[in-house]
Amino acid sequence: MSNENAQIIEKPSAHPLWKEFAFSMKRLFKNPLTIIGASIILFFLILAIFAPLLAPPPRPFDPYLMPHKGWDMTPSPPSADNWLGTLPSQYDILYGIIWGTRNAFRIGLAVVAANLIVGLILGALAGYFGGIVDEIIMRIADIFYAIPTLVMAMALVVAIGRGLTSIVLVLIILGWPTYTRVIRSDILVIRNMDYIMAARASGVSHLRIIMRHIMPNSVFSIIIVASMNVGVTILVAAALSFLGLGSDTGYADWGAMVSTCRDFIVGPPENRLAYWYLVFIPGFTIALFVLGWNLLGDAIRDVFDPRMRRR
Amino acid sequence: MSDTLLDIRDLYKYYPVTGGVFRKHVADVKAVDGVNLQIKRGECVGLVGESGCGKTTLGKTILRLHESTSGRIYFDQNPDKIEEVERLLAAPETAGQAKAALAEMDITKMDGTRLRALRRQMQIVFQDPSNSLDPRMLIRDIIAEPLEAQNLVKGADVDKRVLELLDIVGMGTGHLKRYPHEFSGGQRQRIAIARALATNPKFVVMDEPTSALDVSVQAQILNLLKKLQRDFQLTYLFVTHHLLVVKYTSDRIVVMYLGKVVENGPTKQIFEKPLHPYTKALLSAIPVPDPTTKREKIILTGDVPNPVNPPKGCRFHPRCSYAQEICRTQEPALDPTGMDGHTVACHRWKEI
Repeated sequence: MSNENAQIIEKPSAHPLWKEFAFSMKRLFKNPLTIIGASIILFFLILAIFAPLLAPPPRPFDPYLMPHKGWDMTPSPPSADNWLGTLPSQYDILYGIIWGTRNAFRIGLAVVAANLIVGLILGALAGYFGGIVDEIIMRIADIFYAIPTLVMAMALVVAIGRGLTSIVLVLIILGWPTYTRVIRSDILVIRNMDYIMAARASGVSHLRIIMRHIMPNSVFSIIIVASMNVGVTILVAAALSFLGLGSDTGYADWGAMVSTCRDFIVGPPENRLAYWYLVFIPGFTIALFVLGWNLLGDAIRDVFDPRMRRR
Repeated sequence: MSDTLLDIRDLYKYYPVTGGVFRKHVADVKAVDGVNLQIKRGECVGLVGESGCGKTTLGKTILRLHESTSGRIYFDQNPDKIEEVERLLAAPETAGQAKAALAEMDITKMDGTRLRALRRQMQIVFQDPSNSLDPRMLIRDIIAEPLEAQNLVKGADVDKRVLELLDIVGMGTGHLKRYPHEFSGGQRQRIAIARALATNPKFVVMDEPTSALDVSVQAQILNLLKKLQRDFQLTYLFVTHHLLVVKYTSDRIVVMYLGKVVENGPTKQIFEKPLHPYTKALLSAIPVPDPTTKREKIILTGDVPNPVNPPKGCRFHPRCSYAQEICRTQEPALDPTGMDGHTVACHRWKEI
């Protein structure tokens, strides 16, 4: 038995958690898609953080209101004054994109964080305890699944009253079943592992088993789902805004910006593409944002999914 | 202090089978079906049987990792008191009086607080150490977990005790801040053993502790387990399907078939003179490392019957070459054979 142990030579090293993290990061950045995804998100993050510098708000107490010069309903194309052109009523598109980024992060992260917390708690209860608790939680989740999300979201937003806050609230209400399902299915697998049995045989309490064994082993798939869902959330919020359920004209929200341009998607007969910048710029921004989160989510899965990891 | 450490009476563990839209209860898988078993202090009892005969379930039910369907499990109790409770239970009119005593003495009916305190005394080592060690925990935290859960050691003493335990199982220092995947199978099993010993238990269920290991490592682990048993006066229930492992480690062998104990006796007697036809068949299947020996092999025909619907009478009769009419209709009881502590459940053990 001594030679078996001789293989392990003790060397002074960093904390193993840090070693694991460094290993994960190394794996993460081997994938070119990660770099693309991370760069996109980083780009948006910089936009969001430095928004006050990049586009100084004329009224600092209300920066999300886009400044505009005059009420001319005809949008103007990109120019020296308005680099990306203006919306109808002369709202500056560049300003809208920059402050809209901040807005997108606010919406996406708030919704996903709230969903994550609710999903973790409900999923842990359903998965770990099973039985009647499981039945009740999962049947309610099934009811949510049975109704098309967008239709349900529209109905709820109309009921609460239109506006961005309502959209966020409704997405929080509707989003939890996916998270609960994912976390529950993971816990169902982990619950029967021998190390859970061993912990129970030592008299470890349920709460401690959930916090110390089950969560660390099941939290990664939910993080993957969450990172992908930041983009999806923005997409749904934009769709609702486009349908006119979002904020008022002039608010720096990508969906609302596309919405104000509804009448200008197709230009006059002599030049159908005259207003291309109106829909294209906010639309492309939304697409890029969603793509960034999806790529990042994919990459995170490749690295953190325990099934794809080395043993 | 009595001689018997663990006393199992009429233990049943049925898994319900549900069917239909409303999950109606349609049948039971009878994993453990009326087991009586006494384990003495310091003894190593080998529990053998085919896959699916309920041996692992029995081991886990003793530790209440599975809830039993019915039956009593007494651990480290006064035998007079056990007899008194059993007497009260036997008569329907006095059975109610036994309730309070059972809540104190019977593992299957204890409340959380009592059970938690008892868990210090009973531990388990699982078959596959790559499943029984949390992949996201450091070795130090894995071994310290029972100590912390039981509030046995605090602060800096935890590290000291963990190192001591690692030393006991023959691992060097310097492993504290490592993850399980950095170790070989044998080392992982040593870590699992260290964890089981952390609270200084009296009784350890060994659930096929060597089945997932290389043969060379198996021997090391078996020797370690034997040494630990001597050093710490441990009592083992050694669950395995490997008869030679049992022969090497155990003082007594219990043979299970379809949820029932069919033979129970000292290792030497079982190997020299097995009485139950099933035990005979099991023993004849052990390979002999000598190609020139000619032995009579008893080949069992057919599969193990479905434990949802076991055969009537003796459960072994469809596969038994000695079966007679009585075997098909009457279930044999576990009878003493007159030899020292040897019992067998067969109608015809005297003749065959």
